[in-house]
Amino acid sequence: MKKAMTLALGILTSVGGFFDVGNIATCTQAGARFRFQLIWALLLATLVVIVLVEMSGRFAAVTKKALPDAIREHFGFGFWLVPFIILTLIHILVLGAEIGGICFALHLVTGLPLQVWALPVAILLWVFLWRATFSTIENSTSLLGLITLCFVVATIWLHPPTHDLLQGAVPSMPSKNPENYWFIAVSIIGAVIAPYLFYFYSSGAVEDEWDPSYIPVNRAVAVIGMGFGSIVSLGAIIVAGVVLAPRGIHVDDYHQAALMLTQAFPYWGYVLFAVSMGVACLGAATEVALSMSYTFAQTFGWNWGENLNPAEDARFSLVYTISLLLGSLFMLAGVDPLKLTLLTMAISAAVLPVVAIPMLLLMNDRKLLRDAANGIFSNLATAAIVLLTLVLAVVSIPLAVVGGS
Amino acid sequence: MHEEVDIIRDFLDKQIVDREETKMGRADGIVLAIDGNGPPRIDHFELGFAVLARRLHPRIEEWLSALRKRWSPRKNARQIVAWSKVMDVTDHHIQLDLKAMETPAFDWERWLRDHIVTKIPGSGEE
Amino acid sequence: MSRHLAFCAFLLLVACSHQTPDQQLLEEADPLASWAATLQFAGEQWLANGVPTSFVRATVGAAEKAFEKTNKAISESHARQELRHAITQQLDIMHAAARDLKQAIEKNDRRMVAESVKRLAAVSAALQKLEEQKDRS
Repeated sequence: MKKAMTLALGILTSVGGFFDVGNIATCTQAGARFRFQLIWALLLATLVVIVLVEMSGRFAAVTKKALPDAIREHFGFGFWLVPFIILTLIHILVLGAEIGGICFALHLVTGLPLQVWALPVAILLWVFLWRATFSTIENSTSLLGLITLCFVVATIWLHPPTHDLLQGAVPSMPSKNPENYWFIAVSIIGAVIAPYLFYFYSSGAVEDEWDPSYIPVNRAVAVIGMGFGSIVSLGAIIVAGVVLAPRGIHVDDYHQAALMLTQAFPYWGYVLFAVSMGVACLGAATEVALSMSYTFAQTFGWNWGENLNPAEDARFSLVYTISLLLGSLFMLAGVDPLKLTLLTMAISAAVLPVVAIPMLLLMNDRKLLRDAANGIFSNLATAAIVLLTLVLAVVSIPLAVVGGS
Repeated sequence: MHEEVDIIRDFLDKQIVDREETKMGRADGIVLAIDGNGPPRIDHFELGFAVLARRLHPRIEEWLSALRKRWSPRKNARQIVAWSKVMDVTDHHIQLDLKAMETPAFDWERWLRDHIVTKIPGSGEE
Repeated sequence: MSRHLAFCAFLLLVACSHQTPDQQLLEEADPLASWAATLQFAGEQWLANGVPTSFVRATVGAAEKAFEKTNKAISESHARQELRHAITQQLDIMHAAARDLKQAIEKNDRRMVAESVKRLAAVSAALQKLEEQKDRS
């Protein structure tokens, strides 16, 4: 029974954590500019993230260690230092972007400017982390995250041409603006395969006290959970493709994206978009701030756990406090939230090999994982993923320069 | 009983916990002692940012020491844990016959808890 | 070292500017068509009570920032006089329509909003035509 609950909760967690500001920005851009032509990028990224999340969960279930913990321990401080610094940088950028997303959602609902919301949002997130336990955070953000299914409902309502959708599932060359096309493709992949996602997942598995008997559940959670989140993102691409693209509206600013649900839901579309964006970004921001704490605490061997009171893990709590403050600085400084998001996704894609490869190496350690270590199929997938991340690392920054708007 | 152990792989960077399995840091450094003609043996572990800094580059350690002298609640840059204090070594951790709260490893944790955390409502301290 | 950097920058520049000044200007003006369509859609939704006044106000604000950027690009461009004139003309019409839209929503003047929406639709169409020129040339 508990395993069934885990499955349900795990799926809900993935739904809330998968669809975040990065997905909103990149998928709506993709749909608005290229209709359904970039669906393949989302599908490819989903496959990769399912594999990575499954490995991350399997690892934590068998070794009862989260990734930062295990990587420092097995590869040493010197080896871990570079991924650690990069992961920290990405965490702060992503947190800034997610806070930007929450601020924008509040701006949509209240009409007050974004900057006004930066500190209140940071404080709200902080209070949430200070008081809540891990399962409270898991459950509440996931349940709230279900609102994002409105994108799926809108898709069904709008009756997109199936033939065009299927064509989009296969990579194709765009008729114009190839640099922009490939830039958005890379950004989608960077947004979906967020480095913090599989690192956080391993810490979450340890918080939830998984053991080897959770391996089958983990597989189901990875596939169904990530798949579900992917379907919501697919909804975003399709709705943008049906509503924005024919009108010639590009998403150079979040205000343009905010209109997309008004066609399917005449009165409520605007509010649904705002709430979806706010809730999705809230869940993601919580995860990223926690992920930062997990990473620091595990790296230096401190006491950690969201289930502990802050009095029991003061350093752990200090890390998420500081990261929330740093994250809010971007919006306070008036940085454009969409531009910040796209830049962050490009950087994320560029550094993927550095943060993914240590985990992939550990998955082959038979002394650690015994018979749960990677088999041939998993290793083939791993090799393909490593290749993909290396390609992304090489092309993403140049593409951001020539293909970004 | 003769058992081979890989010091770098199984001791260095390993999680250190106390009697109650409270985490208290990692084995940031291992120091061997060489007595006369006998083989080297593990003398003690070292914990602390200074130890990590030195693994990277001596300059970094100097810079960190300068900072520590000004700001740190710690008395020493590094905590030394004698090998004799080791209770148990498992796959997961090295367990010491100590109480974390009483060691320098928890200096920062204690300072933050007493001066900041417990002053904020909801921190869970009675 | 600086010579190598300069060479790379030059390569990048050459790679990017395989376009004529006309094409370059049309690319800078690309967001304009998108904003015209956005403001049109926003106005239509406002009339249908689908979006609040604050949203249209904020969207016009964001659009105006884009207008400034394009204005700057036009003044610095080496494109043909007729093209620059055509784009400037549409930009001016759009700017005026956006201003009127903003004023109209504050006064709850539905007739004026509908009229501004029509003007924005015309600008959108005109800019689309210019865009097609770019693809053909």
